[in-house]
Amino acid sequence: MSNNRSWIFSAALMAIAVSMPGAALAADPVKVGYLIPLSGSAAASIGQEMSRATHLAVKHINEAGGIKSMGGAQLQLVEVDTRGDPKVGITEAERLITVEKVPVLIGAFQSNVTFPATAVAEKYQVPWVVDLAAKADITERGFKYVFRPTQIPASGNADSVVDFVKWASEKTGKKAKTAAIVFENTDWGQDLAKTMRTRFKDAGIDIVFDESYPPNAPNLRPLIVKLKGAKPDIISVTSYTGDAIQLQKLIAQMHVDAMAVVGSAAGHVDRSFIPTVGVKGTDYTFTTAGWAGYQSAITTPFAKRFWDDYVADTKNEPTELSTSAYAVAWILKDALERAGKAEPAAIRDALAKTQMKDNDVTKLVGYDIAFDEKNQNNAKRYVVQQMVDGKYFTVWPENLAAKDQTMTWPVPAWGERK
Amino acid sequence: MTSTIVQALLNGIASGAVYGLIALGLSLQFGVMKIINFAHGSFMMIAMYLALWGCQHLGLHPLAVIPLVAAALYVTGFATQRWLIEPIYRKEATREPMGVLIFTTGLWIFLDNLFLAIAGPDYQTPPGEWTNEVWMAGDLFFAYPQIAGFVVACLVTLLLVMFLRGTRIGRMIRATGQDREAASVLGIDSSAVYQTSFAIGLAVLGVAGALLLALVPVDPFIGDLYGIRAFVIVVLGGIGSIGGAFWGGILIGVVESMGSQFLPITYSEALIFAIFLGVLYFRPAGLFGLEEA
Repeated sequence: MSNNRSWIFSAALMAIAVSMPGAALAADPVKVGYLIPLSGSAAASIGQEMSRATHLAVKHINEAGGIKSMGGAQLQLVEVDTRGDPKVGITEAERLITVEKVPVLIGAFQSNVTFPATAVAEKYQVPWVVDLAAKADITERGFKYVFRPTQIPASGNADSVVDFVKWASEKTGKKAKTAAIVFENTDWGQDLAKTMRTRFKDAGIDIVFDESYPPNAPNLRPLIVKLKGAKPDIISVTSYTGDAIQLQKLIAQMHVDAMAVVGSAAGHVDRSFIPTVGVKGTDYTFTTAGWAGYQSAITTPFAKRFWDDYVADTKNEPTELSTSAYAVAWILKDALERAGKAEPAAIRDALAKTQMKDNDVTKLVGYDIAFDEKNQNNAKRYVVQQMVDGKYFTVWPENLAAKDQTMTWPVPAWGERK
Repeated sequence: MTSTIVQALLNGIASGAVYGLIALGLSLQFGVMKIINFAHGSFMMIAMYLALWGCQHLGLHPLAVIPLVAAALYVTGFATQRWLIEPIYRKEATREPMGVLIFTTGLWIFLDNLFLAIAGPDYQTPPGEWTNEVWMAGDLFFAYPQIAGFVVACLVTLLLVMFLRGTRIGRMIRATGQDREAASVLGIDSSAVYQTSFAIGLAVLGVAGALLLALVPVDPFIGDLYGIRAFVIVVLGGIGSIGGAFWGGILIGVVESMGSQFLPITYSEALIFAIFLGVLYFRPAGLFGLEEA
């Protein structure tokens, strides 16, 4: 009986659709290819977090009437699990373009997948909006169809460390004169250290300690003993979680006093950093971060809806990862509105002309969106946060600083803390 | 500068004593059974998690969990030897126990991933502030867990030496290690000796794991780092030599700590292995490996 009824209902719908060819054509959904790791690698949990946010953005866009310039066309995600495998990324990008006929792609979080897979999109001249992959060469190749609005190469992280130290020195009048660079001995660590070396020197800050260590080192106590002997004003630490925890614990235990310890995101913003080191051991520590957090960024109804719906959906609070994924869908939506048709070339041209300032999306991410000649958005900045009582507060840049919190600089000596 | 050097030296001795304790059990198993237990680091990781859970769920002090962890590891060791290793070992009694080597390698990978599933990938430390407490002597800083690690490691090593020298079971273990066939001719049940020595080896490792937990956070793969170091120490000190493992541990600790003060930190690991290779080349029996020779 009910089958019968639903058959009649759909037949009626079809009749309406056929009788109004124009409307049916206008409402054709815009397919968006989405590559993201959902299983099979350590990045899968990150991929899932980002995927939830992307789906949420698409839902919000569609509920608000879809792409108005295309007669209210709905966005339709064609999601593919890359399993963190570059080969899967390449073949699936090709399939999405040639079989699914998607006019635009987004993803794929990991640099090693995004880098080769975006080359496929370039070959087929289909635009790709990169989310968080940080490898510099993704945009340095000068591809015409590959855009990166929400990430900058890793050296930007180091730039923010130095810019912050300069700013804090001037702002408080308590100038840092010497710095230590502690970093893990990997491509990533060396990249950041190299940028910091030249930038600190340019800022007139002497580097009195410059040491790398093998990642996942069993015992970093010797390094801390040596570091303490160097007596630096600033200690910059570029580490992943395990080493960041060990280093910070030892800095607290050995009473290594400096004007500031500044981490380079990564381990210092890992959810286990504060709980494992302890509130006392992390107090007043600074770190860069890719996103300014609730107090600074959730200031509009647009942002509040994202926050609330995301929390309701996942039981977790949004991070840089989910926020960037959410923003990428809205940046694409903005371009689609201006393109007016779901064709790769039109979408590419619209993306290239993106100019977002002071709107809901830029207030959420904390920076403007526009592309240079290599389709890189250079306005993306790492913010700097200070840990107080087990929580992160954004202190820099000033326009994103948490309102009800003042920065402590220089930080109190370990022996003088309660 | 001098206080930095003194600090580095004493730190090296303190961490070295714990390294030695980690290697002790391995050396005992190696010396008595002539088998290489590649899962040694994984058993240490298990000890650290047991200690962590003891602190978290039973509300115990990080030092108070030590006897519990040692007992749990003793039972684990006994069961592993009795029901897992011995059947393989027996089948290969007439040739080199290759099967055991491969088995413990499999066990290592299995245990690491089992704990990844049970405990998750996050780094964890015991609750409470004790692990961060520091004793200050002028310019010198020593964390309580460092001091506790050194004292307990020395005590346990001493007790083990006394046990092996002074008790009947201890002498049986040493006799079996020196010559299995002669020992069995004298009526020693070698399979019982193996179970006991494997279990004692893991109990000692349990103490070491609990001490280490107060010094560094635990994660499912921490055993890999310390397991390799334990092998170096065992070979350096002389296989089967308890004193050798202890002094080998101290040597590695001091080299690591002092070397880092004069060389870039990344070189100190290379320095450890350079010494290791040098000792192997010039003194294959190890620095203290006289008893065996």
